[in-house]
Amino acid sequence: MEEMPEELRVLIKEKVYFCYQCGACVGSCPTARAIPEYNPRKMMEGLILGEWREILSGDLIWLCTLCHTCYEVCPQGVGISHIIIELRNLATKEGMAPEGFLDSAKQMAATGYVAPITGAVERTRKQLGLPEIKVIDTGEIKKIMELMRFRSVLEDESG
Amino acid sequence: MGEEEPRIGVYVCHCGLNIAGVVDVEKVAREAAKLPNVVVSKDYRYMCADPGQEMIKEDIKKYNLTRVVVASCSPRMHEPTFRRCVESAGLNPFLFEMANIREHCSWCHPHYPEDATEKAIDLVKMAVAKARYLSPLEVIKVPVTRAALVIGGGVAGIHAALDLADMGFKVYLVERSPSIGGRMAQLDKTFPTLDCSICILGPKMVDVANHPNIELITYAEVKRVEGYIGNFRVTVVKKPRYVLESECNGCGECVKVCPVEVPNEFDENLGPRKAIYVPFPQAIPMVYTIDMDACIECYNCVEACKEQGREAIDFDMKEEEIHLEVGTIIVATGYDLYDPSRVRAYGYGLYDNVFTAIELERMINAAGPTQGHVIRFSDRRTPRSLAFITCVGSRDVKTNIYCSGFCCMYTLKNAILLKEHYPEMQIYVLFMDLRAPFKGYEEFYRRAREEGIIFLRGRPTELYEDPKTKNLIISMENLSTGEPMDLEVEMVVLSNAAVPAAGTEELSRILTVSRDASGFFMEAHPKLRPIDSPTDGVFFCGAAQGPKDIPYSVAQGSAAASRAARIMARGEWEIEPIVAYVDPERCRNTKTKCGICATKCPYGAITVEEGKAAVVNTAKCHGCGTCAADCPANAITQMHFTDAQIIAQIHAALEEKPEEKIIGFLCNWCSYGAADLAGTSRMEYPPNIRIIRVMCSGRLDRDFILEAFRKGAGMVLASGCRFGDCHYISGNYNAERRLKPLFKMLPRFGISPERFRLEWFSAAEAGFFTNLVKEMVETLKRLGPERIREENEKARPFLDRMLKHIGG
Repeated sequence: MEEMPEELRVLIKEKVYFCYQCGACVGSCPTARAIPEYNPRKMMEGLILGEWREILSGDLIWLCTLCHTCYEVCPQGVGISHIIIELRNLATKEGMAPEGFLDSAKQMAATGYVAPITGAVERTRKQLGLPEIKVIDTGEIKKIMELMRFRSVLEDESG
Repeated sequence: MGEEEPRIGVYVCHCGLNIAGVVDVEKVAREAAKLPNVVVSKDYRYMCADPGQEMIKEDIKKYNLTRVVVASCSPRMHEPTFRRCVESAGLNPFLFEMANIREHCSWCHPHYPEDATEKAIDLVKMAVAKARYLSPLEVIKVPVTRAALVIGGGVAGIHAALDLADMGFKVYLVERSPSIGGRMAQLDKTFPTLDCSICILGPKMVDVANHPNIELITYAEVKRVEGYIGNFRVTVVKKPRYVLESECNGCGECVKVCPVEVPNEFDENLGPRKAIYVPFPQAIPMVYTIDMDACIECYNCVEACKEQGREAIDFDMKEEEIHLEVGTIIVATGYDLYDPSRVRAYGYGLYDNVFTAIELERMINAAGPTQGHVIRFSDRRTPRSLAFITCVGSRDVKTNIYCSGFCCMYTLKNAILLKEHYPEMQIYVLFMDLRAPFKGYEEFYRRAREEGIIFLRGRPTELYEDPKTKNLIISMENLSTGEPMDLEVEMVVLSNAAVPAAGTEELSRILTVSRDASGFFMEAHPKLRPIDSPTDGVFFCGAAQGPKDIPYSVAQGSAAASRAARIMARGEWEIEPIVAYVDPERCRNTKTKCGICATKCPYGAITVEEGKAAVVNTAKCHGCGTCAADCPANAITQMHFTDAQIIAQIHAALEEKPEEKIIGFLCNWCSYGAADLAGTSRMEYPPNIRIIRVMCSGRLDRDFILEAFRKGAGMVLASGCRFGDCHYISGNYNAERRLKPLFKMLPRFGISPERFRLEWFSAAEAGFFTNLVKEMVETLKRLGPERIREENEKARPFLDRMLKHIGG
């Protein structure tokens, strides 16, 4: 990508510029507690400083759990978790989504479950007295993915 | 027009070469001489210089002139000069009109001398056209009552009252609570000097009580204000305190026998008071009050009072109405503190050991509920560690967007006081930005660091309470290291923001003054009239207008006193006669219920009674003209900017080649100012625009725009101040509401909507104005005269019908 995509430019202008670097997001972030490199405040600063290419192509945006606590606590209404969703969409569009994420998505489309159902999982469930995993009709999931134009992303990847 | 034909003199100024270097001034004067009613027309090097002014004065006598038009610089520059000039020759100053051929012509079209000359002729023609319709106006004089009302007895109100009283004016100081003193009386020490707060305020409070010119009315609220500058009639309601102020000597024997204890508001409910009480020992007036919500009517106090040989307690006391007549009003109602329990993540009211700063202030005060000991609620012991959290309820779009200003400083003060009381205590200040901009404040910040207080940058996100120890764990990012952290402390103190005092909204209605987006009182101009309210004769001081610390509040109290004295000292006040007038014959409120004018007036200056014609209170009217534009019966006239005058200007401007011209309606304070600045900055733009000045965009009747199109104008610009900047509070909002529908209306007549522009810009935005005119001329060229003429022809039958009342 040469030019900054329009949707990102609008987002930065209307939301990110308001960030005054207070760190409320980081203080509340469960990922930041576990992974020191993950710092949503610095990510916003990066966007303000024009480092969007590095952010889009990097791994960090994929570490967010989307718990939306940062969205709730931000005193300036920056809405960080929503910005991260937008960044992920852009990265995916550009073919920069990590393999693991796409695998999960494919799994979702195929079985309705994000994690693969292995023999080990079934055995453990049985031992714990949990019911068998239901087979899901994935028609609706596929339709939603289609409407979200996500299937084409997956097909591009596999093809 | 009067009965006699007006006799007009026109004077075209060279302004050295400022005008004459571009405009052919002699030709302008020659052309002006041909205009109807012009009996003399001259040009001269400097009209504003003494010989120029003498020439006008002589001509007024020699030619028996009844109107004078000077074509020179902006009326914002020399209108007062020439008004004085014609007045000294015996002519009413409002029979003078000015054509701005310098800022709006020669200075901005230096490369088009012929077009500039043509434009100057048009501008003179417009001024002459208006002059023919001018009528003499008399400056309105109103008497001024030499007494002031000060609402609120905090440190700002106390200083305003004392200053006015010292100047010899009668002052009524009305305070809502039983004692004056306000927030400052509650504080332990003041920053940055650490003076004992009540020790420096107390003597001032005593001065108020003893001043012969001050009448103190406590435990009372202002309920109604009528009238206008110099002549306000105020109704104050005094609550019954059940103790006679004249009898009580403050001995306090009644308190000893009172069996009822309730939380003391003055101590932030951390300690008790009796049902009969004074809020604090230094209270002024030193008179007891019975809290009837708590009293069990055992009458022990009555007996105790009798034993002292007095009968000060009166259980039959009733609410009392007091009527005051004052010339000016000073609002000093202060602030309240943000309720931090609304920020749930900080656990105030939920966790035992989270306090507010004012609670800490009461605790650390030796006369406070804990005799100066700072203790935890959970185990009554002094904490070994404590964290201050700043910006609670401020700088946050979810609570209050503004910075509360003084919290950083009182946080530093509290931290330093704690360190002095408890040197071993580990003290943290958790902050985002530390704001210490005034005299001695940054030094105070340095002193706090010197004393070993730890400053951690970062906004705490959430607090958790350890259920066993009742300690608090604060999650935040340490911005210096960029890492999330948990900080455990034994006590947390929240530095909560100042918010508008309860009752601010009601008082703003009582006084017809506006409030800003945060709810504080809104000053008349943020830079140059910071003390004045939009209602003449009403002033603000202290935190009522926005959060302020003590020195700032004191300065404003004195400033408000001086602004009020400026009016009262003369005993008489002059009001510009550019006001609105309702023609009772035409006002339709006599037949049907209307009252639109009253709802649109930003100053509450219009009274409408059912079945009667609306009446403008001239002393309250500021002359924006909004009512005149909104009146559905055209029954309202704005003096000096009448419909007839403005329409005459439109007609004169469009006599020749109308399709090449832009009619621009500009407001005196912002957009006209921007056009003046474009001239003084020598910004060039095409000479197609003909500017008509109004005081406010609120004056712009839809008919003016339509009339310009009916007369063939190529384009029309309506403009005013940016939103929020209107000098008449809401004139531009009214203009937008009224004129925006034109964008839909014009195409229905066949007029391209891009031929009308509605723009808002400040007096500083000369570049914006220049570009706007350039852009409009581009549109004019793109459409071309042919199409414009065609569109106008098509629209004419509709417009003729709509504008039948104008004629011509």
